[in-house]
Parts: sequence; C-alpha cells; structure tokens
Amino acid sequence: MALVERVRNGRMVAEWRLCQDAELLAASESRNQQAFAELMARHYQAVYRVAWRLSAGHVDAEDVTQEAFLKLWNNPQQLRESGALKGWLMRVASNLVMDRYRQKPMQELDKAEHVVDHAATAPEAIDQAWVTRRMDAAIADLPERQKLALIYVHFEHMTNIVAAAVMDISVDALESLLARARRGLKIALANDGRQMLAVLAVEEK
Amino acid sequence: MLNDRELDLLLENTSQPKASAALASQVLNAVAGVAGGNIMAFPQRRQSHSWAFGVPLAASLILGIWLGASGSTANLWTPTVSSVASTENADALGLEDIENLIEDELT
Repeated sequence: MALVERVRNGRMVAEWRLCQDAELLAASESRNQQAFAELMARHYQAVYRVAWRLSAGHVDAEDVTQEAFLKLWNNPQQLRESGALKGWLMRVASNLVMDRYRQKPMQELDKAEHVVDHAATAPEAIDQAWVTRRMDAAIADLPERQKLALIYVHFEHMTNIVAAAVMDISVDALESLLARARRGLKIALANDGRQMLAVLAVEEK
Repeated sequence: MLNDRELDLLLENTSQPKASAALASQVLNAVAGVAGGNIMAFPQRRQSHSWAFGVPLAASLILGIWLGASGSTANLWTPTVSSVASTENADALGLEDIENLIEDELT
C-alpha cells in the first residue's frame, strides 16, 4: 500500500487517484488538500444522496455534505478504521440531517403540509414523475431508522453487515428494520401501487 | 398488496438526487479556508527591556563597591558631626563642656 508516486517534470508527484482511501486519509491527516480533494471526489455524491433521501429534499443536502467533510478534515482521527470511511461519512451526514430536523421540526412540518395542500388542489398528471413523487413521499413517511436502513441497503447497495456496522446495530436488527420498512411501503402504496405499476408499464412501451 | 418484486420495481423509480458540480469545489474552498484559518500567528511576545535598567544598576553597584574599597571617596564627603568632634578645635565648639556636664549628672 505504498504511496504511488510518479516523476513529472523532474518532481515526484503523488498519484492520488491510484491511492486507496486509507492512504488518502493518512495524507489528509497531514493536511494534504490534494489527497482530501480525491477523497471528496470519491464519496461526496453518495453522502449527498443519503442526506437528500433522508430528508426527502427538505434539508439543504449540500450544506450537510459540506459539513460532514469539514468534520472529517478538522478531525480525521475520529475515524478509527479508514476502510469504513464511506460509511462513517454517511453516518455523520445522517446524524446532521436528524439533528437539523430536531432543531426545526415545526418549520419542516409546515413546509411539508404546504406541499401536500398544493398537490391536492392542483390537477396532477398521472405519469412517471407522479410515480417518482409518490414513491419519494412514501419513503419520507417511514420512521427514521427504517428509512435509514432502506437507504443504506437498497439505494447505496451496502451489504447488511456493513449497513449494520454503520448504524451501530446487529445484523438481525437491521434485517428487522428492512423488513418493517418494506412492509410499511407496501401498506402505504396499497391504494396507488397498481396504478403506479401500470403507469410504468405504459411508459416502457 | 404489492409483492416484493413489484415493490423493487417501484423503488427503482424514486428520485435520483445528484449534487451539483460546484459542491466539490465549494467544500474544498471551505477546507482551504479552515486550513488557512488554522495558521494563526502567535501574538508577539513583548520584547523585554529589563537589561536597560539592569546594566546601569549593576554598573552603579560595582562602581560603589570599588570606590568604597579604595577609600578614594573619603574626601568627597562633607564633614560630619563625628569628624568635627574628633578635631582639635573641640573647645571652640564647646563639646568638651557638654561631656563634662553629662559626666557630672551621671555621678
């Protein structure tokens, strides 16, 4: 796992793109901004997706992503296993989103109600965009932990073992959360599910 | 109710959030700001000028000791009472009478 270096214009230049996360993290601890930029490039989209999905777009996911990476930059020692970097970043982002919800629960509820009222009064086109909105809303309504388990495993393709480690729970507990999330979604989509599938089938044709 | 396969199909049709391209540079700018902010100049220690007072004091002390030891300062002093009393013109000052008077009172 030696740091990869190349001679370029007579100078040794680190090829950060060829390095593993552990090496980049070690270099970041030494305040190397190029190494940190490579870490960012690798993981910021995933961190952003988690923040966005967990808040259903209500929290400023870019702001949360930035804060998560700044936490890493300011104190990289708090990450004990460099191999778990992606999971650590996601957990930090998740905690930040939940903290923000706890700080401003009423404002967020007001905002959500406003969106629902608008949708109820306006005639809505039954198309793929409607299916997407309906699915986002169903996921947003799940309890926090169930939603997090679903995001990690279904959307971020983590294994159950990794997701359980990131959530700091047992694999059994994670599987239970996943099962309850899926059951909750099926119940929430009991009325519209068939119509949504029909829309998707038409769109495919 | 939907089965697992149908639910998976619907889950594939959720929003696909994507961070803007500017986010990475925005975060790196913030990091650079933090890095720059970490480099703080320590407040300059106030320069001590104690030697400016110490040197004259030490010189004065050494000069005093040297002059005192060499006895060369004796003639610099103004005559004192004791030195006057020890001189031969004690009669002129009436000091002898005073000594006699004191002796008489004691006896």
